[in-house]
Amino acid sequence: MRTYILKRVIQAIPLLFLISFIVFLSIQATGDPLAAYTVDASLTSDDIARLKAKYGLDQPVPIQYLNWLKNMATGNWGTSYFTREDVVDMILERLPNTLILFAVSYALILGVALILGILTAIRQYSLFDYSVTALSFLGIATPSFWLGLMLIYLFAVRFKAWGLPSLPVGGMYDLSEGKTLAEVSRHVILPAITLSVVVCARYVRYIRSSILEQLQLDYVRTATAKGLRSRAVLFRHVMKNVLLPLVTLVGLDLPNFLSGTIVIESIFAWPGVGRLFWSAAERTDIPVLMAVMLFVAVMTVLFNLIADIFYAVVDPRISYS
Amino acid sequence: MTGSSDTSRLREAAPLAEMAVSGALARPPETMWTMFRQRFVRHRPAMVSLVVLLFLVVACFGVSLFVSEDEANLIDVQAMRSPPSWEHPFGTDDVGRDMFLRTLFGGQISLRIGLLAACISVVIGIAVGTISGYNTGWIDNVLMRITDALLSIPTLFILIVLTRVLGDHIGVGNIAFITLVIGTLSWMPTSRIVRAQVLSLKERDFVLGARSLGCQAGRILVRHIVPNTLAPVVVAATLDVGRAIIFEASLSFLGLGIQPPTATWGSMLNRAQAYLLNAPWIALFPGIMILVTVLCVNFLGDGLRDAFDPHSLR
Repeated sequence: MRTYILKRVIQAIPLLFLISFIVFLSIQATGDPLAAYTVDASLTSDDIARLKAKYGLDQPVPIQYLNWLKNMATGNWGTSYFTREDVVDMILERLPNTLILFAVSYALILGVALILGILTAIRQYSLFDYSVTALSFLGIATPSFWLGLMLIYLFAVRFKAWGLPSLPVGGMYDLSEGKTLAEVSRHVILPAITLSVVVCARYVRYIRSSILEQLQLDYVRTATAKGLRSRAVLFRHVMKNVLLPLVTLVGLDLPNFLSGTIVIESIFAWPGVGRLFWSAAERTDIPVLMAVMLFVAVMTVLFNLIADIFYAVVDPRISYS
Repeated sequence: MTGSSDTSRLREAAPLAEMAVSGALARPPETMWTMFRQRFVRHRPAMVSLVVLLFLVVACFGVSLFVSEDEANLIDVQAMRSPPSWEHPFGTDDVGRDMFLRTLFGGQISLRIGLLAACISVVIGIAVGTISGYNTGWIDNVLMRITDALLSIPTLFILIVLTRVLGDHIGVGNIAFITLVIGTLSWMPTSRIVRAQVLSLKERDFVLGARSLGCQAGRILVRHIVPNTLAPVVVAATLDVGRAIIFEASLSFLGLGIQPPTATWGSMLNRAQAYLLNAPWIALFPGIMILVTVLCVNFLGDGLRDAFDPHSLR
């Protein structure tokens, strides 16, 4: 067991190096990082040379990469070209907001997907099953940013027009109310639903087919034969085997979720990491772009590592060799 | 004992053989292709989707025969933000352009980017997958770690960085460039599928047969192994088309994709949020087009998957 964990951790290290290299390359490919400065005509070539020396841009590319890696490892992630803030502080300041969004979305996704998945599986080929399956096909095909617009139109614009309690269109809390729990939860509903629908639709289909697959296996027949009620068979035996692979699925989905946060946080003006990245992209704020990309990728690797190890700990069938 | 049962089996077999001569063989033989077609035609959602997709392609590309793109982009301040009517079936946008025509012209680019990006992704995916599956050892290791690494960085992040910052050099909104970037960032699932297939296929007897006849590795790969991996690749490719269309739409929605006045379904949604209150139809129709296209493409993939699967009973 310990060797398995150790092995997975060691495997992650070259992956992290490779990711850092890809992040570095994709920014290198973008050309002159000082473009934002050189627009200013008052800069002489001496000034530019001094700036280059300051940021280490006069060195050959491999040296630049190693320097950058050293800085990253020592927690020196640079400062924003625009706000002069420390990049690590900028990310840490917004991270809790994205985590709130993540937690609410996944609570929603797992809750709804489990209920619908179980109901459609035990009523296979019923009208309910067909309608949920049709809806989940629709959900998978929906572009999430468009869904966001439609939800804003329905719940913020129309509901207000109809005199119903409407939801806010953006932000995290009303300035007049302050950052209270009630305000934040009112504001998180629409972005969380928007982010959830596509993923939830996929999970419903996964849970349904996975329950149906499990129901055919011998251990279910044994449990039924010894007189267990079908509810007990489902919840005590089948669901264990359905839920475990979900951990891996959530881990694999994390990059998609994070991609989604860029667009959704921009639409709903949610002050999270995705919006930070997007505003940095609009201003070509390269230190912020690099840091967020690397941060997000490292989080994904760590999350998948934890999911793998958790899975191995919980499922005795996994061999640790 | 054994002798008698053998003769009885022979006697039973005789009428079967006659039947085969008179009945079954009189029919044209069932090839893989006819069986595939039968199974696909029976998959009703896939057939409907195919018809809808063909209709969309004909409508989007056929509109060029009747109207020029400049006419579709004609600004009419008199008709600014007018709701759907007979004259403007999808309404008009914030500068009075006809949304219906623009949606059709936008479809040309969205569909083209979806298809071409999926092609690029499939070609790279097959190349990486076969090379990696056939050569175990360090080549396989390196290629798979690159695949893992690219899968760990959320795609939209790299897409935004490349289109935003390289866009300054190449010109923001270069269609070929956006297609290329989306294509080169979505081959990873395909390469994994192909690799798994190649790993199992290369141990089969027909590969051993080809090798013992003196076939070279390249020829074995191209003629014997790759064709056998194509079924799951085609299914993955249909999913790639849908993903590419949504990626392009997201980029254009953020303002990094195709630039105005050229329409795509995503770029038409770009300013829609500002007009949700007074002109919600600006947001409605391009989104529905994306939804319908991606839905149909996914159903098509579903139908192909069932049709390729010889065990499917549908």
